Amino acid sequence: MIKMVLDINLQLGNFSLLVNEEIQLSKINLILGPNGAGKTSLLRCISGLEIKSKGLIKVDNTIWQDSPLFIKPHLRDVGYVFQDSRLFNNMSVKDNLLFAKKRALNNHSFDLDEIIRILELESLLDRHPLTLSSGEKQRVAIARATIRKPVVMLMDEPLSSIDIKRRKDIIPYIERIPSEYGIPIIYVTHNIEEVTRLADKVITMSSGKITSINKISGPGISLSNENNESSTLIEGKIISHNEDISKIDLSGQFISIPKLNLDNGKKIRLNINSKDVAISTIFPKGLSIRNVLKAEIESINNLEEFLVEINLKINKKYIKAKITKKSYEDLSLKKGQEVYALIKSVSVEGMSLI
Amino acid sequence: MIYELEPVWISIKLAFITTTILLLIGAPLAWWLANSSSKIKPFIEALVAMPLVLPPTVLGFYLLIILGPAGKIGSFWIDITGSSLTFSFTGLVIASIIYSLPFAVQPIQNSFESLGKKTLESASLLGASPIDTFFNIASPLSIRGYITAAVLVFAHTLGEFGVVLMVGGNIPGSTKVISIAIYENVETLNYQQAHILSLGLLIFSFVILLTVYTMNRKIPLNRYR
Repeated sequence: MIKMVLDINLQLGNFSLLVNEEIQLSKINLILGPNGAGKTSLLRCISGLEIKSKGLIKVDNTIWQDSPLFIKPHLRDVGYVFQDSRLFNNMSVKDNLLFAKKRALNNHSFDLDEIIRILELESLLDRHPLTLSSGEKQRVAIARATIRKPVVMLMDEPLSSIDIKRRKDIIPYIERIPSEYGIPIIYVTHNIEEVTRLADKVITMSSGKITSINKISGPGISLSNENNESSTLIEGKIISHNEDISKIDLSGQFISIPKLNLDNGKKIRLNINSKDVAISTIFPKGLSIRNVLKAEIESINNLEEFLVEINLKINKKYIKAKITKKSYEDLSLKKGQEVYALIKSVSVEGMSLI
Repeated sequence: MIYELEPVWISIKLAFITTTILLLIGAPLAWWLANSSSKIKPFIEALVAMPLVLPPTVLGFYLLIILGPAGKIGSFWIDITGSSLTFSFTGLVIASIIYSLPFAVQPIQNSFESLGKKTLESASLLGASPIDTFFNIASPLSIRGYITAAVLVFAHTLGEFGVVLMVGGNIPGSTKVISIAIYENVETLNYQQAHILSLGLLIFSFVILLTVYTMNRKIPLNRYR
């Protein structure tokens, strides 16, 4: 996968975007952050839509911007999927795809039939964009951006205009772009389910700056949503199944979850809500919770007046536990202390388990 | 009878030529106005709209001076062609183009503006240059603007009187258009001939407008939502 060098400075009224980062792109790179963090602005700068941006943008060995040099958007080898599909209503679905194919840079593009097959568009080809559902429109928009074989695909909340129930149907198509074509995606979203399902790398932003970059295969990615709920996304590996339990390896320790219909050795993403993790100073007995992991307290953060967030190190991974200040004081927990993490519940790709 | 119908033919020829030239000039100008953030944009917009507010006599007066043998353009024209621009059909075409410019530019510009930036951004990120986008996305999506512009220019040219009279005069077979012929017939109390031309123009204009508005209803609004 490719490397992106960004040194961007964009001033838009009161808002300023300041990004100076070298990002080794994974397959799907999510950008998370509150409204106004500059996620969309960053995508627009990379694609060349923000003509006021200054600085350097280098993708692999190609320079897209090195102010005053500014490559116009139509000459950048980029794919872009907007929130709204922005199909051209003066042409059919097929002509929308051909429009993009004909204008592919250096004439390198994917075969039309292949794209149609992968994104299952056969039945839509002769339709007019105005007659498509929002999910179908977005599938066409994804195909149209992919067919020109871009070096990187930018997606700005591509599922937000789609019915919640239908979003799951689109996700597999998005996953095919890096897996079948090797095109990395930079993907902006708010939705935590999309994060657990898609993220290989999570880039967090806040007030115009990148605040963290984490890989799923690393120590874990800490997430929080607008309700102040926090969770940790970590990767585990299925090592065995028995009748109704799958055993998962979390860097040397194991947890059991209800049986998944996946092969041994397959990696899965687990999302562990901090509220679902309890702490015990001794190995607990006579408990209904089966998943007990040995952990070391890495750090302790005071939250509101009655809550404490404990960062727990489990071998090479991290998870977080949210407990009351009262229990924190009663247990007299300290940094570096060995404890047991009791995991009440985990979810896999949005499915709640245990 | 041939003599009486000649103004009709001259009017239609003038309207047709003016409409064709104005669509060719007006569309790129409308595109520039719709997308530019240049400082001179308001000046150009005001200039384009001037014929809407000025009495045709003011416009005709200045055109007469500029296009006349003593004017810059007029004398240059005489140098290269040997004939005068004023009181000629060519002079009428130039005057009509200037007089009807806002009727061509404004509807097309409105259509382009209603497409919004989103469509243009989407095209550019699929590899389309601005010119490519103009021809293959913006213009087909703005077809209603083009049709409205063409009809307004055509009808407006058929109906012009003041500018035509000042720049073209009343030369049978060259600059005597319908409106002038009607005026002349009324002046000479030839009401029957005035009736024929007036009623003909009235019915013709109505049929054209009716056709266009009916057609427009059948073309879907290609707006992005």
